[in-house]
Amino acid sequence: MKRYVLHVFAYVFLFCGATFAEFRFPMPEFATGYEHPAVHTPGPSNVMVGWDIVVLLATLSLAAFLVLKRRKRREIFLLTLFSLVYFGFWRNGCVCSVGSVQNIMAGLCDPGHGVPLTVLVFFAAPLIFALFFGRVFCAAVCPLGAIQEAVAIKPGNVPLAVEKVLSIFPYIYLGLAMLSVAMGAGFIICQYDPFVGFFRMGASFSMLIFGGLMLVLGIFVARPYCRFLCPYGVLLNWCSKLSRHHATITPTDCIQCELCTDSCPYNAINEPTPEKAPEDRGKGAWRLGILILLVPFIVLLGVGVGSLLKEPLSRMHPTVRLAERIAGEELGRYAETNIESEAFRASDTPDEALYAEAIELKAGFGRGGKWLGAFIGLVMGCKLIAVSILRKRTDYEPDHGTCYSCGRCFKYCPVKE
Amino acid sequence: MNEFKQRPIPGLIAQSVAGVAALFSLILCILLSADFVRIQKMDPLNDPHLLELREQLANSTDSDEAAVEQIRTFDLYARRAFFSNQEQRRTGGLLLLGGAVVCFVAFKFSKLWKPKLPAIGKSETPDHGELNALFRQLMAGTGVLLVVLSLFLAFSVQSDLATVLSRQDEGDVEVVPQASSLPPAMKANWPSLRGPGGIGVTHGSIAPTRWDVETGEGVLWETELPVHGFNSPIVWGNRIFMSGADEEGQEVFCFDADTGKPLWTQTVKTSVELPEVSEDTGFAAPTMATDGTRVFAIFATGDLAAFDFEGKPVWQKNLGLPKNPYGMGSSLISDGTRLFVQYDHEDLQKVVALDAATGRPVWETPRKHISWSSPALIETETGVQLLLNDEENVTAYDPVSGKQLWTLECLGGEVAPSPAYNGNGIVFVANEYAQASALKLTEGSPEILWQYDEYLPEISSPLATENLFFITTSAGDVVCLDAATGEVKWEQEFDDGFNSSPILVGTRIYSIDLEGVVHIFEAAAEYKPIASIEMGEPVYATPAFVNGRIYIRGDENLYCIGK
Repeated sequence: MKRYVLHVFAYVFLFCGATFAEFRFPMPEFATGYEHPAVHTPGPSNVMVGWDIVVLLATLSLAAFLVLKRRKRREIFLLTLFSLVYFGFWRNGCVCSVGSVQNIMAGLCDPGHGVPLTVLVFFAAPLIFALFFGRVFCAAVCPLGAIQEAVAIKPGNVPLAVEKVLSIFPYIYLGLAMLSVAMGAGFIICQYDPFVGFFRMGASFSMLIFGGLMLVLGIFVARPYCRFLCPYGVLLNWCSKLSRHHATITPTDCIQCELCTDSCPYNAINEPTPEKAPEDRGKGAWRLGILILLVPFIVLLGVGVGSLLKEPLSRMHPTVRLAERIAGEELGRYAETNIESEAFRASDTPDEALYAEAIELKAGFGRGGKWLGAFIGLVMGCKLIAVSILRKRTDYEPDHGTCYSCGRCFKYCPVKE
Repeated sequence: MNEFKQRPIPGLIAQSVAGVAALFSLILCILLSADFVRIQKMDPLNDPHLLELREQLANSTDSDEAAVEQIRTFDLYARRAFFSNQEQRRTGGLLLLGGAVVCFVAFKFSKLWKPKLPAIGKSETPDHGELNALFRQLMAGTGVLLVVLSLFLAFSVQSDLATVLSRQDEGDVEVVPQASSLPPAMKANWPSLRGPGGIGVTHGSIAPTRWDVETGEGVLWETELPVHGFNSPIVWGNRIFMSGADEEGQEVFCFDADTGKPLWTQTVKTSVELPEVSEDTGFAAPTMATDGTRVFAIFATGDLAAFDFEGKPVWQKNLGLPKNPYGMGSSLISDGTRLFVQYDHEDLQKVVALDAATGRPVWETPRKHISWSSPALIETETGVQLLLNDEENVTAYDPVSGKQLWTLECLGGEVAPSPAYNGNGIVFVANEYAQASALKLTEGSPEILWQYDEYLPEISSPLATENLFFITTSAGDVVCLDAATGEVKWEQEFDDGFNSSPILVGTRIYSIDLEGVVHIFEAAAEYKPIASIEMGEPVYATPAFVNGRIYIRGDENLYCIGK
């Protein structure tokens, strides 16, 4: 137990140190006529772009091969470490498939927003692989998954019902991220990426704490970000459900030894259906019918609640925040100005222009809030329906949607090829 | 190969290594966290000692080299300490990362050498029915939680913006936005180019008609100007304000109106690269303005600065580098609470009203055409209107809200002259390569009374009395027209052209040609010359008339004519 306590402390404090980017010293003021060189922002480098695509496709292919053919957890884990080093620490966690969802959404909302080919490949390739081979991207390619996989020392099991309920949060996060992009409020998936600060050895203190806590949690609850937050995981889950060549626990026939039941920390092993029906068929059908009828009401409730969220949701947008700040200062709510309000006042934009823009944005967030509410309501309704349907299974099988193809269960199966 | 083979001794060693690495990391974490807390409290730029030194330097009139040196030393130490500390933190962070990696690798090896054995027998899990029931309960609970959280957010996040806007709406209902007249103090002084309202009419009726610069007769004082500029003097009380600029810098200067002594000079630092300007415009063509409390100056760089009457900077901003073939020419004007800037350039055309006290924008209205003309504030039956000329239109705005009141297409060419107003409902505009137009103000768009296209101004602005309209041209012609009909009353040709605009003082008109000859004649339907007086140097600026005195900016000197 002591070692875990030490481990917790190590990870909690590890990332407190990486706060290099917190302070900015202003440029010195010279009285000698010295002119500061112009601030130079280097243009985007395309040198590694093609290479990134090659590495992505190669690692995806290798991951699929290791998961489906080699079936060696250790080899999959070594590839995970490679991805952590390459896509994480070497390439600083960017381009990232998780964040690419936002680029695609931005491209869909604004035809003028070009989606680079690299981003398109990073978005599409893992989904295509998931369609054929399951979530091999999560298994060994995603740097966010890799860093969590690396710290999963003592993963425990989350109760299945809790796991299923918590699985709605990635949908909520995805909805929020799409709303943010559609309204031009920014790429929140990237802004709140808990691990990119470690990859880059610098982030805000609060984000480092968030990332540190996520990793500490990851010691005991494997991949908490992937399971309960990752918005890209929602898409991978959908694609993986359709996969025809998904990883299997046993390479041939399941002998139902039950040795694998305790091996998966992700609750991703589905047990065989009991021979005796758990309840009367008619009762189950009745409940299912009720739930199906309930879905439109849940969606309507979501629309109603979402319509009330115009104000809090609109605060995602920096222009709205600035307008509220300026208005607050005008009302005397704040004792002092802040750097944003000072910069605004130094500009030539009248308050009225800012206010008009903020009002327009708020109206957009009002509409978006309704869609978001409807989406969350629909997800909750569908989850209720999905859980109520009993699917016939004869063997222990990985759940195609939630299995990360990490290969932990392989060695627990006594059946070998 | 047995993947569950137990190796207790290597496993124990790995665990020990992991423990030591974890302890090492923990100590480093504590040190770095303590350092972080210390850094958070540091504020070297607002150190009391440094602030004291800066204040001391700001208050000293002469250059206090010792204080400057102390500030530099202090600044250097602060920066050195900061960068040393940054390096230490970086090293600490890397050591911490190394410790964590060792810790993690050792733990992984310990798991490899002491693997978890598979559990035999199925663990106790709820059956499908129980699981579903639990799931539905949890989902319902989560749904309620989300709704409650949403409601909490919806009602706890209040909008200050909504409050401000509702107050403004209430205010709009109560207050009539358009001001009815300019403040009386404005009319008693010379707050902008061409006087109160910028229409070339003095509210006094007395001004000297005889003086001699050479002998000094009738000249109260004469003083040399420190920096060149084409702008005209403005006067408030016993202070005269002007600006000047060249490649070396931008300055605002104040003179004592009674003695001509320089009272103060302030430099307006720029943060932008100097634009290319024509020689005829220079870097300080726009005339300053005052609201009675502060003075405002704008330069070819787009730098706009406000000072109080003692020369203390109040605010400064850059409106963006003006881009046009000649440079910034439009002068400033104020109605006592707002400062109006006509900013019509190639890339951007707009008129802006700034809060005179703070420099904050009150309103900003986009425009469509370039211009070098200056704004005028006229008092009409319906209230004060802000008039602006551009290369196509004359447009009126409400000075309070910035709302466009009317616009009329009647101009053309590169327009520099400003509008004139006869005080009785007729606005006059004129420009070379276009025509002169008399516009009768109505409730809607004005009605064009007449147009005239013979002698037209290029630089100087026209002037209107109640019944007559006067034009002075760059070729040296002066034309008098009937205000109501446009009938030419008389034409007079002088040897030199006019850049300076004519000013009406009582029943007389003062107009100064480029050679510095002041032509004084009656504002009458017949040409009645009163005097022509040589200033002895070229004059481009428009004179200021206050309290029976004339303030004339020559090319190099400032003159006060009167007693």
